[in-house]
Amino acid sequence: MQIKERIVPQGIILDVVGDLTYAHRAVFKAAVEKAKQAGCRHLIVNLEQVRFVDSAGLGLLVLVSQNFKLQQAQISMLKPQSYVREIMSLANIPKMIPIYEREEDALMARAA
Amino acid sequence: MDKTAVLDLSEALNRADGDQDFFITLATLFLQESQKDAAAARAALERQDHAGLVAAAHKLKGSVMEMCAPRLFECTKRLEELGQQGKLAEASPVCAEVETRLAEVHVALRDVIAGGFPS
Amino acid sequence: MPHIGQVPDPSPGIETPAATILLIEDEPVTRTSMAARLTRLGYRVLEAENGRVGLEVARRERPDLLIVDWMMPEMDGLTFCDAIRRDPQLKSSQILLMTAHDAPAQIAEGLVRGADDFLSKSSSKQEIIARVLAGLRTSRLVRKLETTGEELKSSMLLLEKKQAETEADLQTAAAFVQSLLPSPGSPVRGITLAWEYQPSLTLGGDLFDVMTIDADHLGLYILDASGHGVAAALRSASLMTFLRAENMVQLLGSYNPERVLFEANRRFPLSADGDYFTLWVGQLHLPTGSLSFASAGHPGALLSSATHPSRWLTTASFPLGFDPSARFTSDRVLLKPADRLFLLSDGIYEVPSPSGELWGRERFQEAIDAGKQTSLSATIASCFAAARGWQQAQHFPDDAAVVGIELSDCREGTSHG
Repeated sequence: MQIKERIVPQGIILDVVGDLTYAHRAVFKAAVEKAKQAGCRHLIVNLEQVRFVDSAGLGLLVLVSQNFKLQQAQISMLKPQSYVREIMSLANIPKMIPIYEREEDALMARAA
Repeated sequence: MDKTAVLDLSEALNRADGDQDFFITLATLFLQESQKDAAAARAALERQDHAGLVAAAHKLKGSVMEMCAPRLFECTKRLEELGQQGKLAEASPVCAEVETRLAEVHVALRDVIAGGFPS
Repeated sequence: MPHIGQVPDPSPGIETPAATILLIEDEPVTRTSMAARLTRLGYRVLEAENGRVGLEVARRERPDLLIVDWMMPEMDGLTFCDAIRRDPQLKSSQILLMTAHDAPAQIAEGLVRGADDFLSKSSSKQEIIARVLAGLRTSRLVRKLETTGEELKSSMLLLEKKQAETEADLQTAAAFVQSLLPSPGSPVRGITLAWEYQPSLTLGGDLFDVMTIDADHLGLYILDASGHGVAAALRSASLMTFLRAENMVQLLGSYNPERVLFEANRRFPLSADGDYFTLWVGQLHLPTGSLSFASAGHPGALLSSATHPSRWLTTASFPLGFDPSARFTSDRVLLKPADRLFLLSDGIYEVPSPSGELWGRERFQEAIDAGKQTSLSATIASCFAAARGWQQAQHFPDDAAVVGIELSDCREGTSHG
């Protein structure tokens, strides 16, 4: 898994490529921690290039979401593939972390 | 006669790191050992024993190098080579020369041992 | 010309014992002279008058450097080199071969026979110092390498031993966890139970149980801990303890799925590392075949009916610990004779083919449906075989479990006691 970070005026976008799984949790954690240190108010996790999220990956997303909420910050997800979306839905994740299909919509969400 | 051709005392002392007492010890040792080696060379020659001649001449050559005695060194080296080449007939006069040169060096060393180093 | 020190290579500020040099030379004047020079340079010098004696001293003293004359009686320098290189204790010794002449052919032969360097008897003091220092430097490096190699070897052995102990511990723990799992067969009259479980590691994080709650009720669950390894297995075992029938009956008076999930959700919050459980719980009313069930983020159970198309028994809901105030709602379904209910972990169908495509729930379902005519255990076995065939590997990347229960065709029958 690789993560590229894009800084935009409204927040930070993490373009994740690969599987968001137990084996890659350290990389994801490090990227999130870096964004948090940078004072990020809105973290957008772009899942377009993610084929698979396992239970550990899901847990990380929820943990990050809870952490961000405590700091009045927000996390959103962008364009999950259908299988990933299915996994998310099963765990009711969309109720906790908003999912967007378009980057503009995700970026607008915080401002709104 | 050039004295340093018999015994280059300053060079020999230099090899002993300038330690005069140690040089005397070394010289005393040389007087004993070189006599034995020269006798062994002579005996080997009389036995027509190439290997014995080479071994004795080689050993003598090593100790002569420590004493810095150029002329003796040259003829000892020649004796070893003739032994290696099996030229025992030619070796006989060289062996005699070694004995003569060795006697010179012994005299010179005994002078130093008895009379001290020339200032 | 670089300055060549008189003192043998001292490490600054550290008092190291003087290096030991063994000088092997038959000619007394040369030996005495060379020994005195080396002693003056600060080395400890051992002397031997031939190779044979030299070998004895070398074996006894393990000197740092050997200076050996080429021509000697008894054992000459080259034979000595041979002997050293054949000796397992001494073979890495540094050897300086002393010659009266610098003939290239002789030097080549000396190198072949095992000398490391040459020293002409007519060498200047500076040259002797330089060569001795170089020889000692190499000797130190070689010895350091040898020591490091030995240390590495003993560390490896220690590590292997530790690993074996840890592995034995894990096996014990795994055996204990296995003992907690229900025995296949007939947990209660009219019900057949079969399961297959392959943890991805020695200790699995997926656990399940099928247990009698009271005369009329069967409780069943399957849980899946996020993550892998010992930590996940420990958390799973602790949740399993919580989910024991006695505990739930004492706490709730029944195995009501939504209440079981509600209590478990309160007690097992998301860990600091983002670890959590998914859990599917069911309670089967034996006299009627009415199954109530609820899921906390678990992919759920598959009902394989003898007469109807199979269907998934699941609901979208948070896993345990995502939201402490979450409420879970039960669903209800009626099981009929010969119906089969499968609880499964996602590890059974989230297996990738060599090209990366996942086997998926649909294919799992097809495998279950295809096995309707075979025994319960054979159906489960064929699922595992199909999953293994899909990934073209024996070993599953995640814990894989399938638990099946089957209602007897005629519940009044006496085939199960």
